[in-house]
Amino acid sequence: MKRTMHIDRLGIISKILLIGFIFSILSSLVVIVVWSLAGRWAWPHLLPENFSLRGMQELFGGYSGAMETLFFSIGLSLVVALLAVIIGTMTARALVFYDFYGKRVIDLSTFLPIIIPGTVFAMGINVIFIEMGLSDSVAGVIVAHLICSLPYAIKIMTDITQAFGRKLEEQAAVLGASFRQTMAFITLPSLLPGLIASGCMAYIVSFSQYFLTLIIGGGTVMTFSVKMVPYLQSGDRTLASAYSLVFVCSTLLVFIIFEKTIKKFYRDESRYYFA
Amino acid sequence: MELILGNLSVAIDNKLILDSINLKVKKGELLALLGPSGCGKSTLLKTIAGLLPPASGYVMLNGKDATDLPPNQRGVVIVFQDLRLFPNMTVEENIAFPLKVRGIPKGERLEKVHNFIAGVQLQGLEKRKVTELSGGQLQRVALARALAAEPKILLLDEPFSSLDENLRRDMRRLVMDLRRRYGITTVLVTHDRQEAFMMADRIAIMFSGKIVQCDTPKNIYHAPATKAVADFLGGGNYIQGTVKNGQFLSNIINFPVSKPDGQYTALFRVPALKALSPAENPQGEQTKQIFQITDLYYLGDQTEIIAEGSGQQLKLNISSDHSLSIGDKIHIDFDLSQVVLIEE
Repeated sequence: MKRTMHIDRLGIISKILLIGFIFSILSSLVVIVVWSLAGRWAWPHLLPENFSLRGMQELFGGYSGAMETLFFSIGLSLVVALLAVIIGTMTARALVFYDFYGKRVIDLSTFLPIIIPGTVFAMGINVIFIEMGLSDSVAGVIVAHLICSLPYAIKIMTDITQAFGRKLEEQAAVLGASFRQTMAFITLPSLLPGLIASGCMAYIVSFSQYFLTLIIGGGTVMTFSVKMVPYLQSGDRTLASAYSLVFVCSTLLVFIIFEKTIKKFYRDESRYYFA
Repeated sequence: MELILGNLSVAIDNKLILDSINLKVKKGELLALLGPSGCGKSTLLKTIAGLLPPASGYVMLNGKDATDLPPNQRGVVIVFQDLRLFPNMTVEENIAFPLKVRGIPKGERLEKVHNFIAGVQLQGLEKRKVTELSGGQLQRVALARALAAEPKILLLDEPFSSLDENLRRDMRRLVMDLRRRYGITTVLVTHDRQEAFMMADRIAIMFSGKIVQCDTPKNIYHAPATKAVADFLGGGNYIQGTVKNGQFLSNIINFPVSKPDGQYTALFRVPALKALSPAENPQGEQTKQIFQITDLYYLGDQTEIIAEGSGQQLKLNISSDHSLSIGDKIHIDFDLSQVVLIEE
């Protein structure tokens, strides 16, 4: 009796938390949607006094170049995500499966980009990139974004690699599978949830990078965040909200396409046995 | 295919797990590796399959050195204790996997898979996910998948340990049947002596990384090399003594033997001893002593007796319709045809 009451109470608490959580996300989204369409919305009015398509025109009108920037930005972040997943997976395998000198140091140093404050990191890497000739270039921005997103990709991949272990790979090998076959049929499908998660994480870290992009890109590499943040700071809420809305929706869309594509690829792959 | 291991040693984290293993498994033979948990049996299998590199020594397959051959080129397949079925595949796909990686065309693959599925009696479960199967069914899938790889040597790592007694008996029978049909050289790892006796042509006994004896089940049972081996095979009553001029001498029993002089332990397994009441005529010289019953354990159709005399404790069984009780005095008849002498 006591136990069921306890569970009931837990259930209620978790429901309240869940509802509060959903509310806090949806309410802010609703505000952004309304703001992006608002013409004038001053205190103390509960709703905008009039509506305007100024925000939408700025984004989709063609004169601001917002869409070109968006697609460029998505492309850039996808490249970062892909590289982060590949490097993250390989690093994770090295850290989990092999013993080598300095392993602990490397393990810890994968977290350095998160520990060191972004501004410090940006200033420092900028100097190095100028020396290397990577400054003011897309390649430089990709490398800088990569450094920021790798800790997440490595952490996620290390955990899943550890959980997955090597047992199924050993089994595949003794059944006659080559290294490449084992990777394609056993390892990658098993790591799939981790690959998607670390890819999404790396993508969002890259896509939302403002200061670092501005410093390394030096204004010549224009990403969506670089374009959006000045509106947030200048207080033009209609434009800022319109940009934010596109930011959120495009990211969601990319995640959905990302996940669907990978899962479809592997479902087809496994059907290939007998279809 | 013939398997030869020569002076094979394996170290993990600088700890010696296998110590100079020498072993030969003949073509088509089933060798059981018998030993307690942690003695290195599984490590030995992994080394044979090429999953662990040896620190020294060699692995020869069919007369050719295979020590540096990668696992996928050895033709040696392990069925692991935890089975390791691929969770993202159905029963059929699991069994088809070794055929697929060898590039066997789809039509032929399908036909072979159905033969293997029939061979392990899994018809009707082809499209099931492996997460939807029972323990015995999983075992069959793992076996069929191993056979589909057409192994030259099949290594079974305690494959039945997670099954209940009835299923285990069925699976043993299935493995023996399949082995007869395919004639595959097999190494079976087990810590179950009954399983080893029942299935093996020869048994290799392993203790802490070393093979201490390798022989037919009968020879090992009747002539264990050491007391530890005898113990592992069930033990019994050990009587310490000496052999002098063809006579085993101890404070319990003396009898003629054909062994050179020295210190020996005589092993009388439980069935080799018989309890006689003092009224009955002892059948031989050796049973003059009187033993006192100190404990009785009811086991069903038999009762185990612990008896003491001349500073020696002996264990024997009698039929449960006895009328003995603790404190009673008995004679003990030693069946000398069953004695095992172990040199110390």
